[in-house]
Amino acid sequence: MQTIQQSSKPSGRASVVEQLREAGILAILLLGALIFSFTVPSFFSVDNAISGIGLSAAINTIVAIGLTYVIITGGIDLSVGSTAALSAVIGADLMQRGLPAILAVLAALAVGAVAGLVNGLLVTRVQLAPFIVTLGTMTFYRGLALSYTNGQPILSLPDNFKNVLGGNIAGFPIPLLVALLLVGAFTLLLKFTKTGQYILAIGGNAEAVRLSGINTSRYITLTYVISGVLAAFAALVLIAQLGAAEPILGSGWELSAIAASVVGGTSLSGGKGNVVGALLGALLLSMLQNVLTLLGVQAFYQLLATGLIIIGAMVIDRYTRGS
Amino acid sequence: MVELLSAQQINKSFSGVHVLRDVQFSLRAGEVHALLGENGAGKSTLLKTLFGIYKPDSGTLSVNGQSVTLSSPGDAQAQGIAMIHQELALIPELTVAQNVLLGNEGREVLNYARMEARVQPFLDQVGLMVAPGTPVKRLTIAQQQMVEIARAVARQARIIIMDEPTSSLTTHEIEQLYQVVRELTARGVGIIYVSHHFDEIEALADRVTVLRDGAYIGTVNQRDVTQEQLVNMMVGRNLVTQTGDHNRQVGEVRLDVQELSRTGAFQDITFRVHAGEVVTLAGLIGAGRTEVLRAIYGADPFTQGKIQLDGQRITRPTPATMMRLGVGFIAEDRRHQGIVPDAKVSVNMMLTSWAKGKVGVREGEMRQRVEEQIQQLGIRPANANQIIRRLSGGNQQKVILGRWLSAGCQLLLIDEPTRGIDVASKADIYALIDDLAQQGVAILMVSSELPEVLRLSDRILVMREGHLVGELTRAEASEERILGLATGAQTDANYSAVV
Ligand SMILES: Nc1ncnc2c1ncn2[C@@H]1O[C@H](COP(=O)(O)OP(=O)(O)OP(=O)(O)O)[C@@H](O)[C@H]1O
Ligand SMILES: [Mg+2]
Repeated sequence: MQTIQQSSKPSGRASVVEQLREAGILAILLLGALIFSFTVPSFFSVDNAISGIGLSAAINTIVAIGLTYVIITGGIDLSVGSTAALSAVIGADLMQRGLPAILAVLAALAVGAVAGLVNGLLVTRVQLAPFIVTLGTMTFYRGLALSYTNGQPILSLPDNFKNVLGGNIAGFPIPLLVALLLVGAFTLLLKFTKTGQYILAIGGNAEAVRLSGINTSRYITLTYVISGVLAAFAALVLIAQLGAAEPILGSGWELSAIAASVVGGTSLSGGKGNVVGALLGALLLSMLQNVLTLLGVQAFYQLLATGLIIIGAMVIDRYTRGS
Repeated sequence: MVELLSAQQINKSFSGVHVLRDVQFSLRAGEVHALLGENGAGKSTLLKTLFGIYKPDSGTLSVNGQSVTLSSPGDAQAQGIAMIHQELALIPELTVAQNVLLGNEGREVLNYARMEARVQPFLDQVGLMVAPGTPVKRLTIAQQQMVEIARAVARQARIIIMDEPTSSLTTHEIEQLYQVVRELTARGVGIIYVSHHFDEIEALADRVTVLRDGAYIGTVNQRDVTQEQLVNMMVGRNLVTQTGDHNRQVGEVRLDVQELSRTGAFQDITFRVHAGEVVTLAGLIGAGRTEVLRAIYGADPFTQGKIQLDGQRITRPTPATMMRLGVGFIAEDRRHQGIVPDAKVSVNMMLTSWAKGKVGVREGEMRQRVEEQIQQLGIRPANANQIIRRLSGGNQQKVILGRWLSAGCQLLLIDEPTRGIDVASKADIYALIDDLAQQGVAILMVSSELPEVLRLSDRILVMREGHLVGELTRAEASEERILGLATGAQTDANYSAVV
């Protein structure tokens, strides 16, 4: 019988199939880009690649990193869009009142952290379902943002803020650069630290982790805080582009971020996921939208295409996973 | 002598039900102290209070003579206590090394190569021959059990609690476990050992403490007592050991399996089961017995071969069609494939009857049937509305049996019928299986417990590495013959020698 057991040979941490999957999305992405660059005029221009795809993908990626973490624990965060709006209007307001941009940015991030902390504590201490908690705070935070500004946008943000977060380094937009750095950092955190592995383990079998003497509540809460901070950060990137903060910004962000995570291979039942996948997912979705826009396809057909991509990715996932 | 651990006057109730009453327990360095009792006696509950999972309502606990309060598993670990749980508690996506070191990884930034190297000696020690980088989800249940044991060893625990550690191990692995236990005790580790198997207790235990219905009955030196005396302490009466019914009349062929194969799992499996006959698939873990059983029920596919039920060919069995044709199935992995953990006992028991349209979902309609089974199987607590997750492991198993007994079936496929069941209930379940056979039900079971195989079977089919390698009638069978065929030390002339 030892012969049977030994056939399950050394295999490393990520199985070959899983790596292939990631490579698969990358391949689809490159293939799509190649096809579009020949068929769609103006697709393959630096300008389009950066402003048409890169910027929207960057924002979505930043949000999706946080959501990926939450989803890995088996949770969900529907409140990211509202958290983004709330942090954006508070940050923008502070800047307008003359607070140095850097302090206003930190304040906005702190707002995101607190919003996430509230979600996390309701999930872990009060033991409410993540879906319900964040459905509630999604509405509540949006209400806060609207009442804070009386429903009005906050205009004319300081130039230094716009120039830094909305600027370029050697022609490369800072938001995109920051998104890539964050992807790298959160990948390392997930794969090579105790914190990251506990988060994965909690999604796999929370009770077993608890019985191993690990404070699971702390790590679950942490994922919501990360999600809140990253949502706030994405909002800052956006308002630096727009030069104004609207209390209605970020609506629908939760859905695109969930889509990016899931297309990238994160399992909604928890225990499994990766941040690079979320980046690829976000790029794929943005590229599709961009091409359809360039082709002059009407918005409602774009929805059809996006829906098909999401379901298609799940179908591929189902079959590449085998059992 | 040093008392590693001492618990006095422990009381614990769950929503008014007194589960532990003034229980005492102590553990010395270097001893194996067995905890014995019927299903639901409170063994797991006591262990969980010693591990900080439950907080006792009253009582005192001391470790190394120091009085302590354990309010979480983390506290217990800090006191040098490790626990191997009755229901496996590993993280499927993580590797063996990560599971072994979970909560003990050292620095925040992980170095996998170092972790794997650190874990290797512990795997060697428990005799687990898989690479430490293998994800746990690829291991068999037995291998996972060894991972749990390696984890306790790696923790450098002074006190190791083992709640039914052998319930999914076969003979060879049990030997391995004995060896690990002996090495540990030689180093002064104290082990608390729960098992329903007297041979294990005889092989390992220095002292035995018996619980009955949550009450402390006594602590004895294992060498001073007989098995009968222990059973008497457990159940409060003498147990009549019955032998099986030797002259059962078997009827028509009910199940006819021909050349059933699935690549990589089992090859050319051909056999028949008659009405009123108990046939057992015996063999080592990994021999493909469970796979054959599941394929017959349609839980997994097969690639070749033929299955006939009452002479009628079933081309593509699925659990739903098989159930409607009167086939019942009790899976090996109770926790994942048997129970609906958060549903009531009544719901768990009536699932199949509902699907068969035998009973409605209204409380009143179910009650009588559920109560009947609770009585017949001696399920405790006898409360149809209890959430099944809160039942002890053995009682959960009885509920699953009740599911098929009340739904009725002509062919019952059972994988490990008495896993985690105490001696007294085991006797009840054997009697029940005899009864079913008497009524003409055909029974095909998988069992790794040889005394059970010998006690129940009319015929024994032995599997090895995916092949059928021998057949023994009740008269021919003995533990030695079964093991001989299962390991390949002996062969059966009627079956082509394989591998
Ligand atoms: N969380 C809980 N809530 C309510 N009752 C519980 C809970 N946990 C255990 N019980 C009850 O306590 C009693 C003792 O259960 P326990 O699991 O300790 O038994 P056991 O001796 O380990 O049995 P087994 O041999 O079947 O594993 C049972 O009647 C069980 O139903
Ligand atoms: Mg138990």
